[in-house]
Amino acid sequence: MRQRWVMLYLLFCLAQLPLYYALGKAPQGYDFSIKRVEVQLAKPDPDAPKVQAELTNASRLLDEIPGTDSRRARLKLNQAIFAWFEGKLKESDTFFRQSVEIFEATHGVDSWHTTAVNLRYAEFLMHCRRFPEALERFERGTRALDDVQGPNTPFALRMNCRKVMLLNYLGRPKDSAELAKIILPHLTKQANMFDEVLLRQISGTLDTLTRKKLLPPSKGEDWAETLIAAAKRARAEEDGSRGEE
Amino acid sequence: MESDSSNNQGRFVAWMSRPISAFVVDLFRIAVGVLVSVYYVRFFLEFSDYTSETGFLDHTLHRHLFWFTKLTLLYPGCPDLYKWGLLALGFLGTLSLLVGWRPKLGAAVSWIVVVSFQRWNFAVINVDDSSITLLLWWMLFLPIGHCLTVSTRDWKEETRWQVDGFFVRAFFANLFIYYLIAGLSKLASPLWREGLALGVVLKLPLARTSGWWDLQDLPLLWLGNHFTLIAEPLFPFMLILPRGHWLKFLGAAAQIGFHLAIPVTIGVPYANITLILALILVFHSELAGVARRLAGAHDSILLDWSPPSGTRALIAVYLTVLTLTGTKGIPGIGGVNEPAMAALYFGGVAQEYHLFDWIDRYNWYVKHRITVEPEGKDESVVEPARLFPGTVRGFIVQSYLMPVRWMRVPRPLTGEMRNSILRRSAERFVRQNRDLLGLSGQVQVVTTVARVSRDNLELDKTWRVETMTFTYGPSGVVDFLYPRMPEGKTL
Repeated sequence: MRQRWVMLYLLFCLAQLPLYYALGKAPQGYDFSIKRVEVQLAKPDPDAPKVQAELTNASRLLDEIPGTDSRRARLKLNQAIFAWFEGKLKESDTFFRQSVEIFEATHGVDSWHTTAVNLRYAEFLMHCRRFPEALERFERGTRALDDVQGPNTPFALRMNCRKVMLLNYLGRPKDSAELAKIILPHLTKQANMFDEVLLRQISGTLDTLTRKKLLPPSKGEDWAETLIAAAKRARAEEDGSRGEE
Repeated sequence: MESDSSNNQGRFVAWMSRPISAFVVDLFRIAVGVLVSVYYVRFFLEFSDYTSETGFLDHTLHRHLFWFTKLTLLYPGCPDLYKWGLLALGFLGTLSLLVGWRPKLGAAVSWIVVVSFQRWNFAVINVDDSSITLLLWWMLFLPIGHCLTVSTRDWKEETRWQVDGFFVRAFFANLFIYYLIAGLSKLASPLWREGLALGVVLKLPLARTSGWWDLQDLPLLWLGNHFTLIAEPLFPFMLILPRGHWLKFLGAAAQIGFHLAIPVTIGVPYANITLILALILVFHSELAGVARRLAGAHDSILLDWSPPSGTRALIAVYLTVLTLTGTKGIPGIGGVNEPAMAALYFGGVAQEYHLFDWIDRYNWYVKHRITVEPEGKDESVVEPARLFPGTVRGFIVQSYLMPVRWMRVPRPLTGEMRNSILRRSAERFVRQNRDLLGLSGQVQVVTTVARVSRDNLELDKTWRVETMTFTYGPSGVVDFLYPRMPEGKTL
């Protein structure tokens, strides 16, 4: 290799920089912005002005990416969650709907992402006490969820807990109890994967079902005590096995 | 002070440049030429599955997802003839490297073609491919083409020739980094530390011997697992042992055994053979001695060859950047990994030495059951290998159907990628199995899925997934019954 080839090679490497900058500016910029939004929204107290600025930036960058793809659905989903956090329920509802529609158009109705957004939307609808719509969204999501993650994962269990509550609210206690019987052994085993708020919420429904004699009584005083004790036991076992390692 | 440092630098360069047998370096060149030729043959054989427009990869979508792969000699819609022509050109370059006629030019042509095709098929590229890039890249610098060429008249005379050894020793530094990163990064994996990783890898469909191993083999696999953990970071130290040291021979025997066992049981032959071939250079003085004895040569002649100016500095920068790629996951400096990877990618020598440390994340077991129901005939079950090839690339293609990303497809574009692979694998299946399928009918693919983990080594916990159901007609795939594909969207 002669010296001029080394120079040419170096020039070639450097000359790529502006090209890669031009090619990657919008997709990479979008990715970074949306990740920052998701990090903020996962916090209990997100920095609202920062989220708003990043959402605006992501939206602007998305317009620079040629073609239509599911990135816009991800943006809409985050806009929906942010609007929900801000208490703008009507706006949030619109964004959720748009996100589902775009995922259906780009991935298809059976896809994992469509499912995941439907489940998130169902949680939102449940919060708005729009129970029949919420149940419909939950039911759309169950199959793909089990396909992708396997049955009885913590996420699937969380969704099924919501469904148990929902069926009971909708005056279908028998269906609710039937599902509860299926998930209870797994829920007890993995109770440490859930926060106490959810355990207390589902316990309320389970107690109601027990009172209606649709479920056997809990081992503790009530279901909340049983599930919270199970969570503590599982956590202690987990710590113990970590210590052994 | 300045003169001290320049003296030190001079001493270091002189130490690195100690003469080395030109004959052995060209022996290595020939071995590399053979390996790269075989690699090209594989590229030809796999052409229809990956490189062509009708294979598993939708190259237009691919360029949209991996925007940084656009700089290549291939372009969307380029005819197959053009691609075949480029591959043939690269192959000719490799042959010229092999026979020693303008070997550097041949290596450069072959390298550019290989890098272009690897970018074109980026989604299914793995360590086998990057090892070939590595070899071709080093061919541009190593002092090759002096011996064992088409113009060689007296090989015995050539055994006396010696050349500047700077780049051979720089290549050793590359090997050092390779083994160190591959060895140490495994320590971050719980499965490797628990002694289960090898067992898990061998359960995966990517392994040639998948299905051969069960719980009673676990002690043997535990030994293999720990041998890897101990030996891999130690292999590079063999490079600094003096000529003829017994530990050097012991290390080489262990290394050959290790690098032969992997292709036999798991796969990834090119990466492993690359590292076996590197032993030719590691044992340069021993081999030179043998060659001289055979030739009856007693003295040596130093050839008038020195590295072109700038190349030493270039290699020093390359090795520094390569070291930085190993920082992935290290607290505080882990962020340097990606820019370093990008710099290597710009230079056409992208390398990734985190080998099998991904086992805790990519431990997905999948087994397809394909039921075909030709119209008017009974249904029958066909071999899964008819749908996806039983190779590492075949496994990588399937990984995009699972919630894992071999190459980081931007989220949520994994959905577009998944649909595209489903549709293309269905189309390929129909195209290649007409004799079995008849003119029209239905195909269903149900997959047994499991995470191979500490608690599931026997694969007791599996679940069944309907991967796809489609109908076909005389012109190919007609409709997807499951999953329902987006309307009006051409994939």
